Amino acid sequence: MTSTKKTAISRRSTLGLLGGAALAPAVLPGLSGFAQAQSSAPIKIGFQLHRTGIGAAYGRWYERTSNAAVARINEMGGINGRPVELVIEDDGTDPKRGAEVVEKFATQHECDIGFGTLFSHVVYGSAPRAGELKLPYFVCSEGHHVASGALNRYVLQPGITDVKSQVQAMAPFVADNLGKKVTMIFPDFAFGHDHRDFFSEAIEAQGGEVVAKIAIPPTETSFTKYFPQIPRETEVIYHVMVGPAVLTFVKEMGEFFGPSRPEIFGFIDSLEAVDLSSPGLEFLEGTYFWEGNPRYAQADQSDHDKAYRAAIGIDDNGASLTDSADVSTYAHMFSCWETLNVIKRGMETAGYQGPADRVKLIEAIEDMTDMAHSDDHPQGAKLFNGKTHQVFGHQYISQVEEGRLNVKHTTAIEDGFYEDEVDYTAQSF
Amino acid sequence: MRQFRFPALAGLLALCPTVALAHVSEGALVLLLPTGFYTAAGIGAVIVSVVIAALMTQRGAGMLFASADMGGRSFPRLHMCASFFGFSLFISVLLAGVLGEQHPLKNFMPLYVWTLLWLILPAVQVLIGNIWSWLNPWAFAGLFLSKNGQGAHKPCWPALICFLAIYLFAMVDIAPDAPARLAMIAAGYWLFHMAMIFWKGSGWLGRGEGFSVLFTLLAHLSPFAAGRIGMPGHRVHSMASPRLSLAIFAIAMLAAGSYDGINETFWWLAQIGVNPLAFPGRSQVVTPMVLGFVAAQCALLLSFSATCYLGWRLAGSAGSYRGFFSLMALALLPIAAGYHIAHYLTAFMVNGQYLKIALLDLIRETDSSLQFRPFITTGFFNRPASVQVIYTVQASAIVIGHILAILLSHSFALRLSGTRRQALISQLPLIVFMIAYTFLGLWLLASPRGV
Repeated sequence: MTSTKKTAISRRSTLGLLGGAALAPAVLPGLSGFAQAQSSAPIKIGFQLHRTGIGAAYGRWYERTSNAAVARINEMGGINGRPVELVIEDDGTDPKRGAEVVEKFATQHECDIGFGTLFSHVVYGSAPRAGELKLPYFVCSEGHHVASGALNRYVLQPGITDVKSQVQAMAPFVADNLGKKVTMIFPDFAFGHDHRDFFSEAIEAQGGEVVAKIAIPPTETSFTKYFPQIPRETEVIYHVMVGPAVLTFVKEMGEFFGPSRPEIFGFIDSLEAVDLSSPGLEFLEGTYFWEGNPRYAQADQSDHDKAYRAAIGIDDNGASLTDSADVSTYAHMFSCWETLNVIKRGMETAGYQGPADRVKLIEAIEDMTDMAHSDDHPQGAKLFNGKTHQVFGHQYISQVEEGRLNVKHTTAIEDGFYEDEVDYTAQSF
Repeated sequence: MRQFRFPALAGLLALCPTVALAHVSEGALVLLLPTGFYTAAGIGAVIVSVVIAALMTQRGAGMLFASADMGGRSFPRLHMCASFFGFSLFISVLLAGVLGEQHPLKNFMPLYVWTLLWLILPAVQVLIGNIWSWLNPWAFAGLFLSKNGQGAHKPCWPALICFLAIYLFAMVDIAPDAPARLAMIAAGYWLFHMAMIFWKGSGWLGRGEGFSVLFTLLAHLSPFAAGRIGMPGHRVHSMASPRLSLAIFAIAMLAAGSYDGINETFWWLAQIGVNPLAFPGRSQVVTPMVLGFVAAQCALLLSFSATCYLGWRLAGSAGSYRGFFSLMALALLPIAAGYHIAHYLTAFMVNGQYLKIALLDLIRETDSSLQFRPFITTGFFNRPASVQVIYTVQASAIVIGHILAILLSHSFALRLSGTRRQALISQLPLIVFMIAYTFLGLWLLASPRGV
């Protein structure tokens, strides 16, 4: 009797297990695809995330975007038949902690690569350690630091264009449509200086000129006294003010000019994640912005952008589907999505199996050139420069119309080209 | 070459561990608010409270801070349960810290220390009373010790040192919320105090452990303190002659809270040569932050001592200066509490969501029918109306703290002085001090912040 009971339970358990095994691929999408792999161990991507510190507002959206991208990759069968796992470490937006995190990826977590860093000072703090540990390190920071040659062969930026390219690509549109005499208003530190230097050079190449460069001290919170420095001949104001005083800046500029103002062009960095209906921003109506990726769904929105927004949970105004006031960092966070897809393609091309293939992975990505506008690259087509480890792509120029940004011009990829400043492929591994 | 790509979102509170908030909108919208009006109104309210206090008699003060027994009974078994709950919770979060996901905003170890204990519990202690007795992970040890009360009335200098060390750790450590690392540090801290309890008796907690003294002092402000109901601060009012160490602990609380606000301002960052739009990271400012913290502690201690001394001398040096100083220092407790609530409100609004999600995830583990994936939002920092409400709550916390402090200090002065006139004279320098401190608190709220 006892024996029979045991057998019955055993049979039921076995059936249950079998049933469970059969059902598993249906319940866990993508699992069936992993079965073909030589190893089913996950590919570990160390995600150096600004969860805390000054980068946290961006970090929250970078995490959400990256999780969505990895979920999609796994649903499609992972990479080389293996699931992908994000190993996330908070770097506190701190360069020293950043280097420690990179070391943890390589030695403690046994990650295949490092990924996701945004703030340039953290990239600078971390990249040398990645090079020493021979850990491929994919940054999403837009800094010119990769293409300038300041880093090393293990550092790549294949998911987003750099600021030099972005600023340069604006010059033809500004000169042809807004005016050739430009006054620049920028915060007086490295961020503003880059804009000043890159744009001055680019607008001169278009036959224009910067007639005044107004540097605002970073601690300034009232701007009225600076506006009289704007020359009368100014046709365009180029502004890149940032920080908590940005709404005050726009409001005071509006009050200064009143109804008659020159054309105004800015970088959305000033207002990334800021609701355009915020008080003081009414004055921006009719002005232009650079956008890395259009925050508002456009009339000719691509299916790729639609799928990308849906995957992350973003509405047509660039805000969270769960809170319309929670505006995302839409102009930049696509870099995480696209970088992960480049990593996937690179690993598949290299037949990547494990850390021993890291060099093959870098070489495979260095060999990449065209990246087509697709679900993998919803921001647009891109061209990768293997020598400088930097990708080039389209930029968007949008105008504020009735409180939303409508794209008026999409630059050609070539508009952002500049001469190579480094050839990382000449460096040894 | 540009060092920072995204200074636009350099927000606030980044120096507080696990504060995931860094958002330009709130700070930008606050700069558009008529903060000068709020500041004037706040200071006006404090001045009105000064007039009311000046008219108060000792009997009136006694009535103001009178309390009634809530008729609560002692439940030894419940106390035992609470003790084990606190201990079990602590061990659980330690294990989560070491074994769980190393996410500073999802792992229960940093959520327990920095969100529950650091952000939420101080406010809960003030509003509701001594919830710490349920969370205290050492309390159970008292059940096994016969000499429970030994040492409880000794000076609390060791606790003061612990408190300052915890604050400094929170402000300057490179990764105070890395879960496994924090678990190791918390375990070490817990073991040290456990050993001290077994050596010195369970009274050690009341004089040697920073959190216990901090939370006990804050609970004294509660309307429900000590099993009695009354005006907030009635328990503080009933304290006869606090130890000098406890008085200095109260000053240290206010100094720490004040510096916590000051160090984020454009003004302070400019003083230490840091560009507020390009904060270089905690590791790059350790020395100035430590020096600033020490300076703030010294500055408040010295300025408050001098203010008290002046008041005491003006009033004819009646009684001991030490006694006068100690009672006046206790009157600072409501200001410290007000600063805490004002400073950490926005952090709580974000981190509270993480704590809620982590707790809901626990439920989900056991009930797979609950299908949800809530996202964290900071949308309330984007809406002018909600930012105005947040700012008003913060400013109110500061102002109410000061009003309560003035009523307490006047009441103490009436108790110590022979006459109402003498009491008022002794309070004149303190009134100036309190009004100046109100201004500082409201200025901090309205200031642009760079980290």
